[in-house]
Amino acid sequence: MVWALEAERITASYGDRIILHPLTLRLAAHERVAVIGPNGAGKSTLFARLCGQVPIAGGDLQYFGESVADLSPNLLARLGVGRSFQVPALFDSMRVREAVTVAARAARRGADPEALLAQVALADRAEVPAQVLDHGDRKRLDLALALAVSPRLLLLDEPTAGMATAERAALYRLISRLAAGGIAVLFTEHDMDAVFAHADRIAVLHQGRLIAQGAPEAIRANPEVQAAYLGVTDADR
Amino acid sequence: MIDTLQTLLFVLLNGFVSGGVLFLIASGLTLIFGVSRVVNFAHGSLAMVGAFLTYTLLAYLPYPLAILAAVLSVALLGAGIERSLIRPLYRAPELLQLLATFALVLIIQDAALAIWGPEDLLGPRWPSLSGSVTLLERRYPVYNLFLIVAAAGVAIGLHWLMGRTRFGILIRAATLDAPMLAALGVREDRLRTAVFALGAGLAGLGGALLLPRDAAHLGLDLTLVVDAFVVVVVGGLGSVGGAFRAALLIGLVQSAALVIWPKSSLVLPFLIMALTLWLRPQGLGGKPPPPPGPPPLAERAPPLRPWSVRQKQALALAGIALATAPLWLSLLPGSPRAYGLLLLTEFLCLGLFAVSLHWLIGVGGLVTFGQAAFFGLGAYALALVVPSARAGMPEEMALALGLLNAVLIGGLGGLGVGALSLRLSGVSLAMVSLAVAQGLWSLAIQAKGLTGGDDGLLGLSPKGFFADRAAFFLLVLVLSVSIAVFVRRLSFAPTGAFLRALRDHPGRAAASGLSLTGIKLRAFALSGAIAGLAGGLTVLTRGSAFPQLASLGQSVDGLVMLVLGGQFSVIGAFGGAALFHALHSELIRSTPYWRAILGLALLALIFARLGFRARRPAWFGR
Repeated sequence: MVWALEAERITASYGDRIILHPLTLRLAAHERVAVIGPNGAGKSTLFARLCGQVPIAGGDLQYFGESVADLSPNLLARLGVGRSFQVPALFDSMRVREAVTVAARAARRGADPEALLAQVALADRAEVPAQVLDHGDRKRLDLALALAVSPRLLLLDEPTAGMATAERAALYRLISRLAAGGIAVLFTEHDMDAVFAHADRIAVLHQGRLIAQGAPEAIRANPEVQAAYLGVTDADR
Repeated sequence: MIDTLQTLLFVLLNGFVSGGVLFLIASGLTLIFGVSRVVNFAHGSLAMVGAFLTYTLLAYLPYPLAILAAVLSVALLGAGIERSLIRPLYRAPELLQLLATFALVLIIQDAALAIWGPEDLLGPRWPSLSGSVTLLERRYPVYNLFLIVAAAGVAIGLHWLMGRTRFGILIRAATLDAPMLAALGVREDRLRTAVFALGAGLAGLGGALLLPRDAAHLGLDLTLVVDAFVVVVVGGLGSVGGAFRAALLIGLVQSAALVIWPKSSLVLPFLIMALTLWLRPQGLGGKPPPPPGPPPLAERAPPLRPWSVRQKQALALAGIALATAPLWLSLLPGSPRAYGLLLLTEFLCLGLFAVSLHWLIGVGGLVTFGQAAFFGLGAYALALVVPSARAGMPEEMALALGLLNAVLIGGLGGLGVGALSLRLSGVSLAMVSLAVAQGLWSLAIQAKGLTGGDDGLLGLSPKGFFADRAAFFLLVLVLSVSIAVFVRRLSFAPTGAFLRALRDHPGRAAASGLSLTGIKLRAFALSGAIAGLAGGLTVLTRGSAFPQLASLGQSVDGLVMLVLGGQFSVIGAFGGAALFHALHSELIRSTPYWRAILGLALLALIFARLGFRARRPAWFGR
């Protein structure tokens, strides 16, 4: 089958320091995969590479069967990869509707701005300048901009960071609907309850290694994962 | 050609000399930038003051002491400048930072004119270092050897300072992460003052050491600072080691070129810069830039709003007032019609120039300091076509052809600079565009066969129908109004919206599928074309073309208009141009020290704008 995302032994290093050991990760359409791990595990490094922000040094990365190891972020977008940013990345001088319209137009994939605004519950704020939105609205607008490319694959970096509990639940309901509609979703998240409730599969990074991946129940029971999260190292056992 | 050992030796020595001098000036600039993120335009001015001071002190002191005293004074001056002028600017938008230090250039320039006069001051010989030695059967000045030793000494000293002392370690830490250093309890303000003094002292030393060989003169400031910009960009902003390698590279290549193909030496530094930026945009010693993020809070643009009905009415009234100017000007007492029309035509040309900057800086967030390059290109494109076209076709056709050529060449120039700076933003973009413009300007002066050099090209006033001032004024009015309306509409159209998206957040723009390079290239091309048209029209208005049209002063005039009127709107561009033109034409006639007055006015304007911004709630976060 053709995977939405297929990372084949990709690596990353900073000088001599290895940040990511060879890592293999696959994602099918409809699937919601969470990448978790303690601070410094390499999540951001992995994310920057999956988004084309930093070129892949080793290994291969394919989206929908096409190698994208050398593709820049704008070409990824045209391939149908939408991304969100941990700190919302908005067109701050624009009003909400204008920002979404511009993003939809830029991607040449024709998402309907009004439908997007309704999806992220910003329809009633459409004429507000993005720079005066509050945090939750900024996060939702960021997601709307990611959706404006009519993505087949969504890469979401902490999509609910800093949101209130109710907002968070609503956002994950939206993500689940998107996945049910056929979009593959890869996301990072600090809130473990959200991860275990909303991910179909979980990949756990620890010190630059992918130490486990699988269904939530399997991950919960995995001793290595428990050790990584509880800070128990092999030497302590 | 370099075919003997002797030639090789002398090429190397000369390369070391010019590389050494470049390093002396550039090292201070890059140190200051590293610690405080401010590009000090007045760095060349400090070097110039160093040379002048040494000249004065030599009347009382021997060379070594005179140089030492001059260096210490310039360092002190630098500390004073940092405390009074630079400190309030650290959180200001880059455009204002650059303009403020440029105001300082103007003020120091006139201060030097008042103190030391306009003549070149040739330094006396340094008794113990004059004369020459014979190397491989050729004579070589001892002083040049001393310069090499001195530059090497400074380089070693800096290396030791940066590697082995607490002060140096703090400098490196601040260059990497100033907020972290401040959080660790280091007095950032003192460090910045100290580094500014050190950098100023290095500049002063560079200037002082030039004196026994060259003259101290008022042109030193810009020549030196542009050379230093090139070195700093090639070396990587903030990297002293990179500046050292870049200075050496440029010095050696230039010295070799002088032997192989002398004419190329002027453009070579720019070629090296272009090549470096192409292969390694962060420079030889710089770190790769972080992923593109949004501009700092202080620089965020306001939303673009359609004009209100009242605004439209006011604009229509202004348009009618302008269009009927030929009528009401002749009704005024004292028959000011001809002069009034000339002033109004000049104002419109400046307005167009400001609109071209508004597109790049206001809409695109691309701060350029070399807009005069396109203005000058357009001016000469017209000036070189019209005389020959006149011979073969009606005057009006010749003028149209000339203006078309101005638009075309200006646009091509824009494409060129855009291509050069594809991967740049912020101050690097400002420095590179400035360096390119200065290169074109000196080309205009030196290519006497083509441009007439400083004598200019004359006899370019329109003949035929447009010889009438009123007819020509109306032509310029129609052109500028239609271009202003076009640019305004384009800001709302996808082209402009994508450019605004790039300005607001390059990272998001890319993630939305926009090709940043394509958008930048188009923005530069349009801006260059409009500036070229403005240049061409200016030539027709004045009837002549001079290299000044491509000078840094022209670029800065445009920036001042933008700051005066507001960079985010077309109306602001024209308003700023009107205000600037009125002030400027009065100022030049009233005093020889108009530069200093302009500089002071610019500083007052900048600080007024900062004060205004500081009261806005968006700034509470600091």
